[in-house]
Amino acid sequence: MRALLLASLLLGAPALAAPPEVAPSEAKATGWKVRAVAPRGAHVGVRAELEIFVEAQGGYHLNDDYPINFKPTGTQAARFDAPRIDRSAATLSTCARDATHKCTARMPVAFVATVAGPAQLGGTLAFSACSDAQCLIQKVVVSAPISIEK
Amino acid sequence: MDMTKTQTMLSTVGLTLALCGPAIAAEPGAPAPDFTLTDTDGKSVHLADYKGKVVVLEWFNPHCPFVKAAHTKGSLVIYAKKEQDKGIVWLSINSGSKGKDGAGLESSRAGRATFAMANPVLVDEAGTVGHSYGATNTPHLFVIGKDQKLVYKGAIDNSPDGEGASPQGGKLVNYVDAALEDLAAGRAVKTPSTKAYGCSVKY
Repeated sequence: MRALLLASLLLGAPALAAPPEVAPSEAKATGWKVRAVAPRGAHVGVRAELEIFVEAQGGYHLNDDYPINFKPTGTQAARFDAPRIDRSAATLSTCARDATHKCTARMPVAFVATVAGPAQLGGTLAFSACSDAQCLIQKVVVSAPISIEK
Repeated sequence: MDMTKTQTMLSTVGLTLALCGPAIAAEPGAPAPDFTLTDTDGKSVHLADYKGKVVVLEWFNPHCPFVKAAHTKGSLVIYAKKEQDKGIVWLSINSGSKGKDGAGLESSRAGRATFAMANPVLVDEAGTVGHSYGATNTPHLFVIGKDQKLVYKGAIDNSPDGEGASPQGGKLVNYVDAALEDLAAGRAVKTPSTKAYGCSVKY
């Protein structure tokens, strides 16, 4: 290891470059949880759907007025149908009429896989969740691992 | 029902309304409810003093992310200052009750500084003025004509993300701007009310 570092320094190369950061498939904080779910068995050239789920919880509800949207992150592994998926594509559940106020939204993100092999598909979900005390506007980056076959 | 019973009933209803305050919030076309509030500098502001001028009321909570977005990225960036320079009176009002998120004098003062607001921010912790206008959201905008009648009530614009990035129909429309243009041209306000968006007012 010491020899490798020394060689890197001598050659002027960056020592042990950090791997590219991969967004998690699930992110959560007080009031909400977001998940990205990739399909199993995607094939090159075949249309498939990445699913994005957001759940309001713990006394928060999804703000129905907010223009929830998802912007896919560009990748060589797939071609997304649209650069932005809007509220009209989302399916919002009615919030539970109990103390949890739990409610969810599902956003289908259509794509066509272009390159075989392992990949990450994801993007940024913008949404708002509110409780009686406060509102949140969140922009959350998530991605899901996928194995694309020929 | 005889006349005496009817009169007694109407008197009771009138008394109830008088005791409970206005049951129905002001709507466009009606006189704007008068008020006196104190701003963050301790100055008393009386709406009736501005008769003969166009007044914009903006319901405000500096902790609301929609207010933050509107003041840092969206339609409210420097907007009030520009309108004030044209002679419009712009008053922001914080109707959050004591102890609620973003409510009170200190929060209002800090918010005014954060967003570099040139207009007064009035504190309405009792929520009386907010209720009299039917202010439900922050931001929630009201335009009052020179005759002190309400001419517009609703959202600042048609982009309910507060940033101006998601306008309904694809084109950003600033409803307050449109109402002020109508007033300046001596026309009736074409869109007198819209649905407000944002956080709820923390009464």
